[in-house]
Amino acid sequence: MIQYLRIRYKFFMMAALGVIAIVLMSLLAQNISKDGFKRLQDVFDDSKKVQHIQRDFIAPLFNLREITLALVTAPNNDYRREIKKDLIPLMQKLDASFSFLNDSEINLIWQNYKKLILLTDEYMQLGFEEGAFTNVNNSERKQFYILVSKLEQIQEVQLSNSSSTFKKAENNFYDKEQLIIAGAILVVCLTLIFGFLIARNIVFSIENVQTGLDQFFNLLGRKIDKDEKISISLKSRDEFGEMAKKINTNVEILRNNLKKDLHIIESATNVLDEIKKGNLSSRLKELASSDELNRLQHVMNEMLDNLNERIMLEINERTKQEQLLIQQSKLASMGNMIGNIAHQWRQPLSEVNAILMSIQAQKENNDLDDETFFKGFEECDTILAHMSNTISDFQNFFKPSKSKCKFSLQEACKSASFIIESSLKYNQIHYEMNFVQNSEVFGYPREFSQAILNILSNAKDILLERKIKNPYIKLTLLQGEKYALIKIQDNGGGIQGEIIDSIFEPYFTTKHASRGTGIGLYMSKIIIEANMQGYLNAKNTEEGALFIIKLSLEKEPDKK
Amino acid sequence: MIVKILLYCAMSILAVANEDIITPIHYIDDNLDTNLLHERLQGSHIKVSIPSIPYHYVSKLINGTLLRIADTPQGWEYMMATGHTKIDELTYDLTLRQGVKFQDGTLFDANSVIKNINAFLKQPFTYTDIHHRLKNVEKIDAYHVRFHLWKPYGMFLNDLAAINLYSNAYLDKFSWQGSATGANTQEAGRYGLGPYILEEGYAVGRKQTPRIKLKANPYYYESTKPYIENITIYTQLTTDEAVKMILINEGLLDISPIPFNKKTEATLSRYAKLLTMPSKNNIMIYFNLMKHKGILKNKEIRIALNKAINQPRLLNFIYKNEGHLAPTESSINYLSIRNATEKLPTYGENISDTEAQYLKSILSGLELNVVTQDRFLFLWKGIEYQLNQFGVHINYSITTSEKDIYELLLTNRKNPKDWDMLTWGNDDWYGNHPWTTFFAYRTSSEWSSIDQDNILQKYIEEFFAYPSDSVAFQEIVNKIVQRTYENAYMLFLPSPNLVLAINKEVFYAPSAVAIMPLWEAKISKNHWSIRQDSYPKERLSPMKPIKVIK
Ligand SMILES: Nc1ncnc2c1ncn2[C@@H]1O[C@H](COP(=O)(O)OP(=O)(O)OP(=O)(O)O)[C@@H](O)[C@H]1O
Ligand SMILES: [Mg+2]
Repeated sequence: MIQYLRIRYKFFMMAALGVIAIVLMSLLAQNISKDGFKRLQDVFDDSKKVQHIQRDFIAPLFNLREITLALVTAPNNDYRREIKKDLIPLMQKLDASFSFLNDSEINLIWQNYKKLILLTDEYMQLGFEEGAFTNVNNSERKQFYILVSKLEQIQEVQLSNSSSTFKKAENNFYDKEQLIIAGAILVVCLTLIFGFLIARNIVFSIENVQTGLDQFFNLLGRKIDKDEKISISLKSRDEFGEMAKKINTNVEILRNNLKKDLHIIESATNVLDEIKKGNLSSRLKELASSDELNRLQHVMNEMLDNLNERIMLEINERTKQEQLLIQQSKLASMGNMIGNIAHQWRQPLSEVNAILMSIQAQKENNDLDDETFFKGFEECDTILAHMSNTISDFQNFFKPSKSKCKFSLQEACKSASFIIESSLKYNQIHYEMNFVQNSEVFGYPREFSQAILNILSNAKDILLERKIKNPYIKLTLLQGEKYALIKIQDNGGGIQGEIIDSIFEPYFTTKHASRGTGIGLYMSKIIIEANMQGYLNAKNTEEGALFIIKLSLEKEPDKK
Repeated sequence: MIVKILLYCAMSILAVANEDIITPIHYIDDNLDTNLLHERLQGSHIKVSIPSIPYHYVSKLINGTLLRIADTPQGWEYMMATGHTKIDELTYDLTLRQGVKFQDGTLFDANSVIKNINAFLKQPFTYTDIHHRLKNVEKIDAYHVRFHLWKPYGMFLNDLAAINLYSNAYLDKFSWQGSATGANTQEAGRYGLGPYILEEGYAVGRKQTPRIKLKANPYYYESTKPYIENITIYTQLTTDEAVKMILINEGLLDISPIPFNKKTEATLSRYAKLLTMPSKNNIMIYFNLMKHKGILKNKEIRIALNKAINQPRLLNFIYKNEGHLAPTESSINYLSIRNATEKLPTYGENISDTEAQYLKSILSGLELNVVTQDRFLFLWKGIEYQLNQFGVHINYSITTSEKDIYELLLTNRKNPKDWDMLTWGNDDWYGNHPWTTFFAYRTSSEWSSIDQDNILQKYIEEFFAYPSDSVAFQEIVNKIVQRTYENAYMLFLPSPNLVLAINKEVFYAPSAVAIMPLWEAKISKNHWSIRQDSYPKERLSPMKPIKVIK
């Protein structure tokens, strides 16, 4: 029957049940509190009696006691007279209260207490202060506490009366309480049963819609095979029933669109895979059901075309630049080489010159014999052979290494030094090499020597440029467990602080265009770091620049 | 019917348990009369504590003088003299008592007086001005003598009450030894004319034994007196000892001054009763103006200290009302002092908050050395409490014996001491005459701790000249009081009453001047010294205190 009601009626029924339950309960409660009120009145009356003893007897008695004490401790008669003004009326008031109490025993004690107070007063008037003091603190005090304790006994009795009345009220309350509990249980039970039935109906509908929606969302999340049948089987005629029907038709439309889009996404993934492999010519061809996907497909294709074109351009540009760089580097090396050869040749040339001059002189004097001429000629020949060797040494030096191989760092440094040594000597630059031991590393020996040479020439340039006194360059080779270290230190005053971060960049130079290209350190860095997996760093020390090369000692560094 | 009602009433009374009705303490009356013994019994004995000027009190018990200090308007009564005539300002005739014997049985007559006065003139006491004013004495006949003065001396007769008359034997041995303090018999023996013979111990000014024993003089001129055969005197008991001995025990002490705060205990005692009486005792708190760099040389400080004392409070809380407000150290129970101080307020009355603040600013941080006998300590605690409010700190030197006080006071002038304040219980040794306190202002004497005050010195010279019943006398007293008040030469406290504990079985009427008329004291047949049986139980109840109002 409930099945055919609208939800709003179902809720209304539940609310009505609640209201009925509350009305019933409050009726019951009202009945009980009316009863309780009457009982409380009784308790109140009794406690008023207790309070009466407190107010009319005990409190004034304490007051009286306080006054008599004050009487004795008062510093002089003026004070005493003031205090006594309160004493007599208070005693009269208490007299009245006690006669009203109608308890002969207590009354007798009160009369005696009064006598003792009057005695204290009498002693004070006689100037017998010690007597008054003793009386107040002794007999009068004792009598006072007996009197008060008697009154408290009465109070006790009345208090227990009032508490028994209270007890009765309490019991009554508990009886009624049980009735309330029983009634409440009944009402609650009934409400629960009806409520449960209605609620179950509503919840059932909700659950049905929920499972349908769950399946639908699972479908969207591809947790369900797209061919599986999804529909909410709800036959109730309320709002939920209508909702279920609408959801079912929509699900069907959605499912078909979904199938189409899935297909285009798959083909897009394929295209991307192709591009990953390097095939930039692959494109999306199929059409999707949704416009958005179609637009996406279009944008993607266009993007791919664009990308392809750009990459080609970039590659061309790079190749061109690199070639230029290599060309420049070669030119620079060549310039350097010529300079160095010039220095290497200076000495043998002047020797040849000397020999030739002496031969010439002897000839002019007609002093030249054959022996001398041939000896001179032989000497020149040897010297020239040596010079030619030098050239080939230089050529070898600048030839690229054929492949990576194991080589001695000591040797590599020596061959770099050989190139520049005479130029240094000529310029009176002190040059020093320290090898703790010979270290072998894996890499390109010639290129490495070139790198060292670059660093040494830079130092030489700086020392000359800055006209340093007592210039020197020190090269030290150190070896640890895993690494070899090469330090090249000069006393040229160091790299200017603001440029220290830029020196390794290509084309960075502080020299005049005719003298430096700014490629030396860039190339050195590429050789040591990119080709040999080492490190090249520069820093300033107190005297000048320090270049540190760190190389791994492992045989095959790593095969990238 | 009536019987029935009565019965009911009785029953209802009985119904109330006895312990619920408290009966007040019953005080027995001091009704000794019927039991008093009017004759001296062998073995009768009382014990007395005399913490202040014991040499003076003992002297008055063992020695005869021409006049005896007494609580009379002029301050004396006849003793060895029976009458006098003032011939002129410089000449006095005295008639002597006849038939009197010294304690050793030798006769007293004009010769004895001449010999004594001549000996006295050789070494007089110096605490009055007699040594500057008495010229000589001449014998008229066996019982008449004539005194000649250098200058008029209003205190002459009073001074005669201080000149002991010794037997020939004593004079031959010791002569007259006057000094700054009162003179007294140097050793035990039958040397005097007084009612008692010094039997053991002695007390002379700066020296004394803790215990002194006296025995009744059989030759005493008032033939029935004394009524008690033996007297033991203690000179150095602590207050606690004395209080315990007299209030808690029987037979240890019969007469003793007690601190004011022991009044209730004395009232409730099983063996003793309380006696209070206005006195002419003066509590002298000297300021040491002699002290090297002593702060109390500063008059402003002296006044501030006096202003810091709230006398009404002291009277209420410390004196337990046993005393009267007094603007100076002199007891206002002297008529002349009462007149002189009538218009003077006590310093500490009505101090405003701002004034209190000011006092604090000058007193705060002051440290004062105080010398006191232990019996004044309760009073000092009250003073200290009040002074503490103003930031004054007190260091005590405490002694039980008055001789220590004398030592510090009487050598201070020659050789200034370190104390700032010194307490001395100055009982009215001069007999109803303010010289008792004024003598401390004579800067030429050891008794003064004032460095210099020529005006005051001049007043005092003038003061000597007038008899105490003259108008000029009152005028000069006014001036002296005004001067000492304005300069705040001492710490002024209320005038104390005499507060004594006395054995219930002793009848003793104290004098208002510094003399203990023990020769007139009597004991009852229940007194511990002569009683055969145990002490009657009803006598253990507290006794109504005796309040003598003059
Ligand atoms: N030892 C050094 N002390 C001071 N500055 C140095 C040192 N070595 C290099 N530099 C600085 O670093 C810059 C870059 O050096 P790099 O070798 O790259 O170029 P370059 O020497 O100027 O020209 P080239 O390409 O001919 O070597 C130099 O111009 C110089 O300013
Ligand atoms: Mg370079």
